[in-house]
Parts: sequence; C-alpha cells; structure tokens
Amino acid sequence: MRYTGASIIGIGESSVGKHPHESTQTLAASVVQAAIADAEIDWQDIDGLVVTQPLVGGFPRHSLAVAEQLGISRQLAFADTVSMGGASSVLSLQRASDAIRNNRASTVLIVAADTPRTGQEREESVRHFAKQRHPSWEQPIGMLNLSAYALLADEYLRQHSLERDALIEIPVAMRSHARSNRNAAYTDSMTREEALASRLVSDPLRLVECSPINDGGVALVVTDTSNRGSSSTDSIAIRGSGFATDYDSVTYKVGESVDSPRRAFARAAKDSALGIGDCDLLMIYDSYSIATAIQLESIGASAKGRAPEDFREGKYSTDGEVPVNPHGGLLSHGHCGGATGMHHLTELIKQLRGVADGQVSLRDGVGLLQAEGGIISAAASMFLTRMQ
Amino acid sequence: MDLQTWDYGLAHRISNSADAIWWKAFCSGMITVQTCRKCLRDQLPIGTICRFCRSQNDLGTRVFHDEVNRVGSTKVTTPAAPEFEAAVPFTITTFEADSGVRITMPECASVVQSSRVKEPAAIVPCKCSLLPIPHIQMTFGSGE
Repeated sequence: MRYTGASIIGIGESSVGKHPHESTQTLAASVVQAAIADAEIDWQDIDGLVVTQPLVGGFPRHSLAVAEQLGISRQLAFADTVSMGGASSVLSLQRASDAIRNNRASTVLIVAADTPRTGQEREESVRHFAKQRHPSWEQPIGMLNLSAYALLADEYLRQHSLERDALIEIPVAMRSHARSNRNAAYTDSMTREEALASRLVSDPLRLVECSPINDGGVALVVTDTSNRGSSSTDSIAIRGSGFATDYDSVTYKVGESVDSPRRAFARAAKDSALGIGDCDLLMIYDSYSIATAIQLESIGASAKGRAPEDFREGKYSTDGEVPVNPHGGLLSHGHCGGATGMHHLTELIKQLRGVADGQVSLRDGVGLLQAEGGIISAAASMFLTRMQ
Repeated sequence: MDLQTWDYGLAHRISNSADAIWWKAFCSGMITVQTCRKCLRDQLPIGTICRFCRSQNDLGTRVFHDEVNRVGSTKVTTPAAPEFEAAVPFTITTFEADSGVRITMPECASVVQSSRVKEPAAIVPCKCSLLPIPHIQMTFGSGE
C-alpha cells in the first residue's frame, strides 16, 4: 500500500506516577530527547511544534515557551497549543498532520508534559476541576467534573436498567491490563470485590472508577511520509481522524444520549475508509468508567448498555476479541493532567510496532484512538496503521 | 436561617455570575429556569444567544414544576470549594422538563434518594438549613 500524508516516526515517554524531582519543563525536555533519538532525526529538522497546555508550569503562550526552552524558536514555521482536555491527544496529532498536509511544516514535534501530582497541592487540583464547570449553573452548586460524570453514569445505568455497580468491571479490567506495563502507576492486583470496597466519591462512581492524577510526559515526531518512505517498520501512518461536539457543560446536554463520539468516529471512518471491524485494538479515553462505556457503545464496539458485560466476558481483555487499553488506561496507568491521553497514543504506536510490554496479537496492524475532553464534550477519533 | 440570609457571599456570586434571575425567583419560593423570552426552550445567561431560536434577548423565567423527569442524580462527597465543606455529602440532581430544558440543583442530605424506583411528584425550594446553598426538596408520588 502507498501511504501519503503524515506519519509518526519517533516517540519518547516517561513513566507515569510521582516525579517529585522533575518540573513540567524538565519532563518535557527528557521525553523530547527520547523522541528525537527514536526518530533518528536532527534537531534542525524540526520546523513545527504542537504542545498541550499543562495544569502546572504552563505559560500563556505555551508553545512559544516550550520552543524557547528547547532552543528551536527560530527554525519553526508553525507552532500551536492545544487545550481540549482529553481530546488533546488526537487533536495535537490532527493539528500536526494538517500542518504537514498543507505544507506549513514538514516535521512537527508534539510535546505534552505535566506534573499535577507532585507540582501542586490536592486543593489546587480540586479548584482547577471545579473552575471547569459552568460559571452560572454548575460552579455555584458545588459541581466537580467527577459529579458531572456521575450524573451521566446515573442516567446511563437507569436508561439500560443496569445494577448500580455494573461499571466496576471496567476499572477491574484496566488494572489487570496495567499489571504487565512497566510504566503504569498502579500495578498491584485488584479483584472485583476489592474494587467494590472502594469508597463512593460521587454516587454511583467509586474511587477506582475515576482516573488518578499523576505526573508524566510524552513527545512525538511527525513527518511527511514522503520524507521517510514506507520502508521503515517503525513508522506509523495517520490514516484519518474526526472531531465532534454536542455541548461544553453537561447541563446543556440535550436528550438521553451523548452523540459526539459516534459522529467523531463516523468522520474518522470516512476519512480513513476504515471501520471498527478493521481494528486490532482500541484505545479508549477512560477518565471515568462511564466515559469508557459510552464511547465503546457510541462507536459500535458494544451494543447499547452492553459495554460493562462485554468487559466482564473478556471481549476487551488483552487476549480478547478486540483488546481495549492494554496498558491499563487512565484508570490504572494514570491521568497526567494536561498531558492526559498521550500515553494512549504512545501505547498504540508501541503496539503497532510490536514492542509494547503487554503486546497483543495483530492482524492487519490497525488501531483506533477514541478520545474525549470535558464531560464527553469534545470527541475525537483517529485511526493509525502500521506501514507494511 | 432563611434563604435570604444563607451564605450571602455565595448568593452574591451567583447573582453576579449571570444576573441570575432564577436565584431571585428561588428566594421567593419558586423553582424556575432562566429561559429565552422568545421561545422559552433554552436555559441561558442574559444577553447570550438562544441555541434554539437564535435570538439574543433579555430573559424570562419559566416556572419549573409538574412534568419533569429526573435524568441523573449523584451524591457528592468531595467539596468543590471551602463553602461546600459543611454541606457534603449532598445530592445533585438533573431534571428535564418536557420542553427539553434541564435544571441541575442540589438536594439537601435529609432527602433519601431512591432514584431508580421513584420519580418526584414535585420539586420545591427547600428552606432548611442543612445545606448552605440554594437547594430543592422533593415530594415523591405514590406510583411506586
């Protein structure tokens, strides 16, 4: 097959957890060094930069500050900062790909790093997430992001007549996957009973159904495929992507279902001429258990109301019909604040290269990254394929 | 303590946040939703554009009662700010009117939730002092 457009030729990533001796800037520097080495390029080859906005250590024009710190300011023909929560992973890559397709840049560096676990007090994190809610309708009544997701979870469980603890299957599966991942923050075993013993933080969600905030970083090098050719087995092609939104605040959700993941996926499928049946694995943004279920059902991987049962039956296990988040997802691998979801991307690339810790078996070398930001407010989908 | 004296700072913030006329109606004993004056379908801050009829106008309030569906409910145990520390745990519930307008309000902890089996027959402003923020009280129907 002849590949055109953009491809990923290098990745660098940190472990996820506590990095008390690192700042957001030093973490970024480390992962960038690793990505450039992996891509086997020179610093001067980079002429584009996309960064995600961190919670800790961010600058008002963050991409320019990162360029300054890396000493690449004068060589850039393109720079941008993406701030779309969990959808930033797909959108960063989409932004880089678009810049390459439109000849704005030929080799784009993507940088995402953050230290919200050790770089700020817990109260600051809570305040940050409280301020994300609608200033008129949600902040005054004490709503946090997790409560907004809990409202979705309650609605979902009622709509499908499921038991209150049905979603617990998802964090249990994610923990099982994380156990083989050296970079995951949480790798001790967790049975269903232990998960159910976790405290309710916003009914019906338990603590283990909410992704834990951690430190971590990722960098990627994206280039015009024609620069590298299709001979390298380490290059991963960006095949197609899509974006959709329904609302920003959950208060403005209309009707029973969340529809943006379905529309984003349909756009990505059309853009890439690929479908769910082509995928060897699915990387689903799992900030909360309910987000995972809604997205899997929206993209047609599970029937409506069936995702928890599909997890329980092993459909999404690492040796199942179509593995989901073999690295353990945000729920066990960890949520890196402004760099959240980027490890889904590096895991997918490692899986397609055949070098992941918990390597799954591949058929055609096709994977999907399905992400969401806000309260499933922004949905973004992207198909990646191994070049062969 | 009555509604007028509850946490004046918070009330002031709510009022300033969007010139919230629903707050004033709430204090006078009505559950209302701040809607587009033209089509009455959208909840919106003053001066913004209605998502449904696209008009940019002053607002009216629609009394929010009778035919409502409870669409989501959660018991909050993590305070979002210091003023909520004394309130947790409390319940936040989203209701949807037949017109499609939604309202999300706290309920005081004294109301026992049985969200899967009972639907409220009526929701009214609650004047108890258990929750230091404007909140609602529900009356359950006898359909269960």
